[in-house]
Order: sequence, then structure tokens, then C-alpha cells
Amino acid sequence: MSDYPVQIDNLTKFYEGRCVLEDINLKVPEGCIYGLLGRNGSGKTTIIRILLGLDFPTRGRTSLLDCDSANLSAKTHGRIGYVAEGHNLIQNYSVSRLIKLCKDLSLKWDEGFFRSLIETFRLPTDRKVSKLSTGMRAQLNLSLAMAIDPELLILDDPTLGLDTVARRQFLELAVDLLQKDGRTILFSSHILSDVERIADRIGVLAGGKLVVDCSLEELKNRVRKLRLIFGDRPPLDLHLTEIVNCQTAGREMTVTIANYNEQKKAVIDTFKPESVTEIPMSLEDIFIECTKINKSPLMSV
Amino acid sequence: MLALIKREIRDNAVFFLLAIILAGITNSILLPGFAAARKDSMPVGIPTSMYSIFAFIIIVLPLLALAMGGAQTYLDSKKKISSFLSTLAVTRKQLLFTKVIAGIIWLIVPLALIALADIVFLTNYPSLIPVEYSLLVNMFAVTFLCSLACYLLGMYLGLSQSRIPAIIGGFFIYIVIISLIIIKGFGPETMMIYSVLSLVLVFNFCRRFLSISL
Repeated sequence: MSDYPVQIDNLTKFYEGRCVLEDINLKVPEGCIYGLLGRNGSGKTTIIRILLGLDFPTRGRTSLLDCDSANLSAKTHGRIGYVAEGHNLIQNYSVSRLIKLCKDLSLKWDEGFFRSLIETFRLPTDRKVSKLSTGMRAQLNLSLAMAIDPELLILDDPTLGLDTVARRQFLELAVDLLQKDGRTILFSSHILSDVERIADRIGVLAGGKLVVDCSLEELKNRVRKLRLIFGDRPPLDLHLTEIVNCQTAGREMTVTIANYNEQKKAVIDTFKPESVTEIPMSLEDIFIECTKINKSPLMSV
Repeated sequence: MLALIKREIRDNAVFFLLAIILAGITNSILLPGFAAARKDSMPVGIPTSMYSIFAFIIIVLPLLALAMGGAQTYLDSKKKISSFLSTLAVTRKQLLFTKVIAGIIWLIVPLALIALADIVFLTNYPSLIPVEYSLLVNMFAVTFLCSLACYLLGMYLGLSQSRIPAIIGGFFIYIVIISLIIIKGFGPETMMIYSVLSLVLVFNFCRRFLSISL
């Protein structure tokens, strides 16, 4: 088996003439918890649906566990756990009937573990799925995905629609479960703190492109926001690559730069700014800056 | 696979119930005809009752099949059931196959009940003139194939995004399909045409189902 359970090569997807994903390349290493971030409608769900073979790419190729997404076998499906956005379970089934169906259709089913999850989440099995709260549906979906002991777990915005308490509770339990035995996880969200709690590596989708693909630490270290004050008007162009965002107001220029290093510092110095101040950035600030733009990939390590 | 077939049958229990009711109605029409024919010693009464009942079945069963096929795929896609199932250890091909199998089982249920009743009636009320068994078999076969074609048509149309044109178009094609029996009768030619039509429809349904977003 390859070292990358999730592989995306040159993926492009058009919807009704609109390009929603453009030339995405991504590899998720084995054992990695990969957080896919992006604003609503940035294409996170589309990527996941294409990976699972629920949708088809316009161009490019995707694969899961070394199997082409368009031709995933039942065996491969059986090794993948999936928690869908909005938790699209079969709404008119009772919980017990849905559990039985999933159990009958699984290749591997850990009944003891599943029962412990159901008890932890206090899920009522006699109720109809449609009568469960969004939080309960999320928990049921996660329990069903975990019961098959998946090699690869794909979570598509699993906390969408949950209130703060339910989200925290869901994540705390999810973190415990996920960190157990080094399985590969692809986790999409538009909530940065969720991803920050779980992910080793993150990807940021903006304008249909994967603008960031690196480890969380690397992202924090390598994106810098600088406030430059010039004696006269700021230059029109800093002649730097990987500028995430740039704003000018009077003599002041605020610039966010990816992969900031000594060379870039030297280039800035040639413009002789009166002062250069670094503005501290939280991960959320970085995310907001990254999703403002629509350019070529900024960070891919 | 068995779990998927069971799911299809259970989810379409209403249609199975309707099929059983249809068989019940057919048999309840047939029984008094048999009894009266026997009592009044009408030599052609029994075979006539049996043949004429197909006029009723041939109209209702394909229409029900069309509705069931349409409902099966339309509701699955609307409720995102196929989408959910195909994330389990199931492939699209298996989903497709089980739908067709469930449809065939559904068609066999009423026809088997009617055939069983025919056998029971003929045993209890032997006809005074020989019954054309080959014609009866042809009638069952044509009804089955005609209903199968309508069922597959319904499944294909159920994938359509525009509901109203699909329903109107489906009903129009249904009339064309059953009209063939009036033109060609219950012969092998009709069976051949329905078989080819069913193959074309199943091929198109496969092609579409395997290439759409779930």
C-alpha cells in the first residue's frame, strides 16, 4: 500500500459552467490527521464527495487507500468511515433499524465498541432518526463510522449545526476516539478552532484552490504580517512573491507574506521603510488572510 | 447483498401490498366466473374468465410497476438514501442490481398468486373444454415482460430532475408500451419486443445511475 491513503492529482471540478475546484493536488500521509479548511462553499464537501465516488471530477484523479475513487470496491468502502455534512442518515428509519442495516452491510463491526459509544452518547435506539437532534445525529453518524474500525476516517464538517456545548462535547469524544490508534483522518471544517484541536496538518481552500498545505506549526511560523511605515508614499509593488494580502493607507502599508525569510526581509529593506513592525497573528487571522485571496498556492511543504 | 434486497422490499412495502391486493382483486373476480361457468355448464366460461382477466392485469400491473420504479429511485435520491448507502461497504453496481432484483420479486408476487389461484380453480372446477395452457403461459410471460419494461422505465425516469415532465412522459410511454399487446397480441414477437425494450432500459438506467452524483 502507498504511504498516502488520500491522493488528489490535478483535480478540477466545474458546476454548471462555474469552476469550483481548480487544479487541486493533495496527499494525506498515513496516520495523519488532516484538517481541510475553507469558508462555506469553498469546495470542501465537493472534494470529499469526489474522493468517495459520490461525485465525479471534471478533470484529474483522486484515490482512497490506493483505489481510484470512481471505482471504489465494496471492500475499500468497508475500510473507510464517513461522517457526512448534515448527517444524511436515512431519516425515516428508526435508529435500531439503521444500526442493523449498517451492521449487515459492514465487513467488520465492533459491537462492543459500538454499544459503548451508544451508551456514552446516550442515544435512544427506539426513536426515528428524523426525531433526533442534530447533535444526536452527529453522534450516531460518528458511532456508525467508528464501529467498522476504519483505516481511513473522513469527517465532513461534522460539527455543522451543533451549538457550542454540543460541538465541544462532540469534539472531546471525537478527539479521544481519533487519537486512539493512529488512523488516517481527513477532517473538513470552516471552524478553525475545531481543526486546530485535532489536525497535524492543514489545507486551506480559497477561490477553488488549495492555497495552503502544510503542518499547523509551519503555517504559524511561516506566515507573517508586517506593518511598514514609509517616509513618503509606500511603493506600488514590493516585488515579492507569496504576498497573501497587502493594504495601504497613507504612509502605512500592511502586508501579509507567506514563507517569510531573510531574502524577503532584504527585499523589503531595499525600499527603506522608516519602521517595520510585526503584527502577531493567531491561526484565525492567518486563515482569514488566506481565504481573502484567489491566487496560486501560497504554502506547500 | 441480501440485506440490500431486504431493505428495498421493506422500503417499498406499500407497493408489495398493492401487488397482493391486485392479485386478490383479480382472483376474487375470477372465482365467481369459474363457479358460474361450471354451475351453468358453460363450456367456454372457464377459459374465457381466465383469458379475460388479463385485460385487467395488463393495464394495472405495468402502471403499478411504473409507479414503483419511479418512486424507488426518486425517493432514494431525494432522501439521499443511495448517497448514504454508497458510503458503506456497498458499490453503486450492487445498489443498482438490488433495485432490479427487488423489482423482479415484486412482479413475481402478484403473478405467482394469480397463477396459483388459476391452478387451484382449474383443479376444483375442471373446464369442459380444453384450456389453452400455452396461451396462458404466454399471457403470464407477456404481462411480466411488459411490467418489467414499465418498472425499468419508472426507475430511469425517477432519476430525472424535472418531476412533472417525467410523470407525463412516463404515462405516455406506458400507453405506447401496453398498446403493443393490442397490436401484436400475446405472441413471441411481443415478448421479443418487450425483452429488447427492457434490455435497452436497463442499459440506460445503469449508464445513468453509475454516472450521476449521488
